[in-house]
Amino acid sequence: MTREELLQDVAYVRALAEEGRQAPLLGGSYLVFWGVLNAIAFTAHWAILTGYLPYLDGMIFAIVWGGYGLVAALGMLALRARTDVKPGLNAVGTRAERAAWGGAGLALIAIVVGSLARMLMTDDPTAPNAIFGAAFAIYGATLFGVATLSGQTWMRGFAWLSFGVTLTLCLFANADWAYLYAAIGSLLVLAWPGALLLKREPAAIV
Amino acid sequence: MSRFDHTAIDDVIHGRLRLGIMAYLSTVSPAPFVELKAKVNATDGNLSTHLSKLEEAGYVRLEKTLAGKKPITLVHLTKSGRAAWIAYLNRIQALIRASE
Repeated sequence: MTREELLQDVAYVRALAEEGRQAPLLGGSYLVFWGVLNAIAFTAHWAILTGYLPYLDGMIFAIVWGGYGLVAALGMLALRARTDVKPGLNAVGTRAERAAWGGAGLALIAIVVGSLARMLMTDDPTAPNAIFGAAFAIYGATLFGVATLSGQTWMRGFAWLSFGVTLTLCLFANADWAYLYAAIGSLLVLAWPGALLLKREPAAIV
Repeated sequence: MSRFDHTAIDDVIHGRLRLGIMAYLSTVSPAPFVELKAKVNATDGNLSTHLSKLEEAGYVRLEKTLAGKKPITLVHLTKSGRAAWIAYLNRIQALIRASE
């Protein structure tokens, strides 16, 4: 074995290992789904607050957010079936992406449950307004972490955008327009990077 | 004796295709058989043969499962496989240094 042969082998090994390390992320469809779904729900919430949708003694909120939960559950099942057959499902970056967003989802559930409980226990209808600011902070932190771990550093720009949305939402949480702002923010920091990831996603090979 | 001792290389790993398999599994594990086949540019039979050798050495583990309704074979890099891979890379690095 010559030194040149060894170097060729090392180059081959490096190329294949890099292919795995740089495998495209598979979370694009999830980001688009949640970005659009959030935008629809936030816009509907804003429409109720501003009188564009009937109030129905407050029942409309339950209808909008109950429907949101149902569509979210069904959508996640469909998306999981779609991504389970993609190549690179167990690449380092993709595993980091799944773990980070999984943790983010649990954090969001804790915030939603806590805020709704506060609304019911203290009869404070503004309690759920604490949710979206925290949600965008979590989106930003997760985007930042995934960008770093996967080497897709372009996603950090969307993380900073999300931190900016958080700042505004925490400042104006009780303003009616904040829900419309959150809808636009969802499209910008979730659906937009999701669409970019989808464009890079490999076709199924199984 | 020369410091350039190629006999110290792990023969189970050091074949072009097996090198490729180990390299890809080091960053994507488990990898579906068809994905691995595409990455290392091998035929079904050729890849199966080399995977059998790696499996005999305990470096990989094959798992037959279902993706939806489709049967697939997943190839896992085992703990001893990862240890052997790291040892192999260290050995190659030492050989290259020795030849400089």
